[in-house]
Parts: sequence; C-alpha cells; structure tokens
Amino acid sequence: MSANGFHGAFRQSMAWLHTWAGLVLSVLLYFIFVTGTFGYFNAEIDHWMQPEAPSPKHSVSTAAMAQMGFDYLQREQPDARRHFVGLPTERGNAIRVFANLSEPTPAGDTFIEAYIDPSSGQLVDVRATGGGDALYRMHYALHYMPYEVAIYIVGVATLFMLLAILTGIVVHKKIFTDFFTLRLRKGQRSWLDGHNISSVLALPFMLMITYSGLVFYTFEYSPGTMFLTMGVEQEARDEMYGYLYPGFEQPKPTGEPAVMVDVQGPLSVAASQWPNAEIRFVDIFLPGDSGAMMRIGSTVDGIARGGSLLQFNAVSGQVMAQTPDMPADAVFSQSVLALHEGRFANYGLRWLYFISGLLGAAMVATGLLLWAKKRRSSLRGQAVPRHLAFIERTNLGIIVGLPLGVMTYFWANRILPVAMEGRAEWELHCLFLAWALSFAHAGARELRRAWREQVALLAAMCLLLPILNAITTDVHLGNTLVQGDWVRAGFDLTSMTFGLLCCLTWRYLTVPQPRTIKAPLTSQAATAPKASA
Amino acid sequence: MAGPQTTFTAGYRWNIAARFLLAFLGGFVCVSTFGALAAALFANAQWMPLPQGVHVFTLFGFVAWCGIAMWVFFHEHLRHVALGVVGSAALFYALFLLVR
Repeated sequence: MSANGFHGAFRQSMAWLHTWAGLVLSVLLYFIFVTGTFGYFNAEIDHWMQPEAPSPKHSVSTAAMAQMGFDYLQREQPDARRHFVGLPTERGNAIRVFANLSEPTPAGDTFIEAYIDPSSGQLVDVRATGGGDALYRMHYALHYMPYEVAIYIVGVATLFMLLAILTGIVVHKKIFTDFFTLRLRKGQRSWLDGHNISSVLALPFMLMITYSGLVFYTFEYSPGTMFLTMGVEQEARDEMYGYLYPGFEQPKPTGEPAVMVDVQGPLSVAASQWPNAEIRFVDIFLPGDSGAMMRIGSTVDGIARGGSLLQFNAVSGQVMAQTPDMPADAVFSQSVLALHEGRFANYGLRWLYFISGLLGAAMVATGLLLWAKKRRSSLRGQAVPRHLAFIERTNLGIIVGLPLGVMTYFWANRILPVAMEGRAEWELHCLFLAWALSFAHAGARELRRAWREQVALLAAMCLLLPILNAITTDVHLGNTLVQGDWVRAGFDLTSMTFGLLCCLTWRYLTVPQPRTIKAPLTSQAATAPKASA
Repeated sequence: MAGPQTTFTAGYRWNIAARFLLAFLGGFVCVSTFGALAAALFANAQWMPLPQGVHVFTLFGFVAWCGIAMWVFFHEHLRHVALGVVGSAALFYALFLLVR
C-alpha cells in the first residue's frame, strides 16, 4: 500500500480493480457473452434447428395469413379467452397461433400453440428443440437453476462487468493508440494487445450492453430507492409499472355472442398508419363476445422497443385507441433495452451486433489468458504453482469448451431421434456434457497438446456440421442455396467460416512459439518461460 | 502494488473483504438513500412525479454504485472509507426522513 491510495496512485488502484472485477466472475461473463451473442440470431437458429419449418418463399397476403390463423383457432378453440395470430416477418416464416383457454385442459394446459405453413395452410409439425431461444435465454436465466436466483447471479456479474469497463477506461492512457496496436507472437504483450483491441474496438457496445443489462431488471437489482419511497408491495409495483407502461383499457365480457369483424378492414387501417413497418400480430380478446377487442401490432419501426399498437372494436372494426405515450424516462429505458436486444436491427446491423458480442467474449478470454500469462512470466524459473496450472487448464475448458458445447448442441439437434422424449432438454444436456468433457480433457492432457486437440475438434465440428445437416435433412446447402433460403444457408456457411478460423488457430498453435506454455500438474516438472520481451 | 509476487497477509485479505462489503452493500445503501432523497425532493418541488423520480434515480444509481466502488478501492485508509460510505448513507437517510 502506498501513500497515494490503496494500491498506489489512482490509475494503479484502478488497474488492480479492473483486473479483479473482470476476473472474479469472468467464467460467467464469458458464458453470458457467448450465449447472448447467439441470441442476436435466435430466430435464424430456430429456423435452422427446425428443418421441418417452411422456407421463406410464399406469396400469401397478410390478411389471408391472419384469416388462416383465426380459422384454425376458431375451429380448435372457439371458447378461448384470447386468439393470437403472430404473422411471419423478415426473421420468421411460419404463422404462430396461440389461444388462452377459458378452462385448463385435462392435462392442465392453459393455452395451446401451433405453427402454420403460410404456403399450404397446413400445421407445421416441427421437432422439439430449444433452438436459438434456449441459447438466448441462458444468457440471463442460466440453466439448471431457478430463474429468480439466476437473474441475481447474472446481475452481480453485470455490475462487476460495468465496473471492469469503467476502470478499464481509466487505466488506458492511450485508447486511440491501443486501437491500432497488435504485436503478434510477442507472448504476454500479444495477449495484452488482443485484450485492448477487443475492448477498445467494441467499447461503446460493451458500455451499452452492460448498462442496459442492468436496466432490464432495474427494480430487482436495485430496489432500495423504491423500497424507501413507495414500498415494494404489489400495489406499489402496480403503480410504478402503470406509470412506466400506460396500457390500454382491458375489455370486459358482456356474455352476448357476436360475429367478429373481417380482419381485412383493421389490417388495412394499420397498414396505412405504418407504411414502413410489417404487421407483427393480430390479437383478439374475448373472441365471439360483443365486448371483444382486437389489437394489431407492428414490428419496430424506430428505436422504441415495443413497436406500435392499434386497438379496434372487434365487432364493428372501429379504431378505439392508439399506442399510449410513455413518459420520457420510460422511453429512455425502453430505448436502452431495444439497443440491448437489437430488435430494430436489420441484418447488416445484426451482424455488427454479433461481431461486437464475439469481441466481448474475446475481451474476457484474452483477459483470462493475460492474467495467467502474467503470473507465468513472474515465476522466472520457479516451479509452476498448482493453482496457476489449474487456472491455465480451466481457461482452456472455458474458452474452447463452451464453443465446443454449443456446437455439440447443434449436432445433437440433428442426431437425437426426432420422437425422443424430452428432446429439447437433452439437446441442452449435450451442451453441458460436452463442456464438462472439455474441462476433463484439459485436466488430463499436456496443456499445449490439449489446446491443439480441442481447437482441432471444434474446427472439425464446425466444418462437418453442414455435411451432417445434408445427411440427416433435406435443407442442406445444395437445396437452400437454390431455393433462396438464406437463413439456413447462412447458418451452414457461418459454421464453415468458424471452422476455417479454428483451422487457422490450430495452425497457429502447432507452430513453435517464442515462449513455451507447459503447465504440468506436477509443479517440479514445469519449465519456466523466458522473460518477457 | 499487489502484483503476482505479493504475499497476501491475513490483514490484507480482511481489508479486501471489508472493502468489498463496503463497495457492494455500502454502495447499494448509499445510492438507494440518495435516490430516495432526490426522488422525494423532486416530488415535493413538483419537478417530477414520485414514480418518475424513483425510476430516474434508480437508473442513475447503477453508475453511481460503480463510482462508489472505485472510490472504496482507491482510498488508502479503510476507516475513512467506512466513515465516508456509512456516514453519507446515514446523512442521506436522515435528510430523506426530513423531506418525505
């Protein structure tokens, strides 16, 4: 401790805090970044993981698709409290129909959900899969633990991340220079450059994604101010949410039967109101009742999160209300959340989000490697302590093991029997089993060899995934490219691109390095690296 | 500076643990009481309705929380840090009780 501060001058103290705030929950942060990054293409991953789902080409009008959905719901659940029809958008190709039941079914279900192919009007019988949504959900709700516990763990990690980013900005005297500096094959210095580049390049994204992550659960993560002023009882929460999200008046049932208006009329009104947005859904509350109400929602046509809503009398077709205005602070938080989710993003921007997310994961990974490398450099010929050897091996299990797990998840989607009981859950079990095996492998093998083997396996899994897809389904590149199904084709091509990048990494790992990375668990046998350049 | 070769004494570890608690829990109490005071003041002055003030100062609180953590881990003397965090939280709370 020095006379200036706890760990030296201000910048030195912040460097210490940056290291530890980033390191303590880095495993979790890496997991959040990787799974959250896949979430930017959740609908596209869903589409690939459901090869039975229709391909995007159809020429059915919006009104016809909506009518298709309501016809199905009217046929199957005429007494439901609510009929919802989700229409295909740029990112989804099937019509989603959903009904809230008046009474639970004998099996205890309170709703039904199905997908309809707009081209044929037939139900789509898709395989059970977690899809991209399972990956997306894991980045905030984790897995194998209650949701209420998971969001708090993720919240603490996010707060640590925000602290690490802010202190990282303080630490860097030369942010602009760091942007252009990458010294390859210089041992510890290369990892530092890699850490700096991945952080600085995506710094605005990192700040936005971390802060907005906290905003998602504002009053769960920081309930103190609300507790002191308004209380935290349900009444106070209702008052707060009523203020933040002023909603429409809820319809009241009259008990008098009525014929619903043709959906064409309200859809035309909505289309004229939102010329640049797609209609996202048509939602009827109390169908068949004279008090029924219809809501039509559009995709997001600006940065606001929820899109626009129009409310109609479902019997007469008259417009009743438009989206209520939100207060400025609610608009701010909704905009921040929209930025986090990238809901407004077109494909170009979505790719930018994806790359920024990968840079976030790279930032955490290089930070982990840099920390271990620093400790190794400081040994100067001494034996490698067991804790350092352990950390170096867990680094491998974390950094390569998780992508291996995700690839196993995709492989499991094609390999597990379609009719298997609990199929979607088993896909996720495969992910975590593969990840656990990666840790075991990293512990059992010589470290550098283990890196090469796991990266080689990852490359093989990425490159062979399109071939596995071709063997097990008919939505392979030969067909998808011809049919213009760019979502599925893009998935296969992206997998191959990652495979090629892994091949380059593998090649890098097989070339003799200026400093050896040997970390035998028996510390006496360790070879110390040369001093840093 | 606590580099790789630093020997961590028991006193040093306790110091870190205490600072962690002050940054995490103390920071939470500090931003909560400050937020409550500010929201109550703004509501009394009719600049913002209470729910808006609570929302705005909770959103601001996340960044302030990090600022407190940075100060807690920078200041040399633990006693001053503890006094600063606990004292300011107590002061904010007392003022909040006066103005609410």
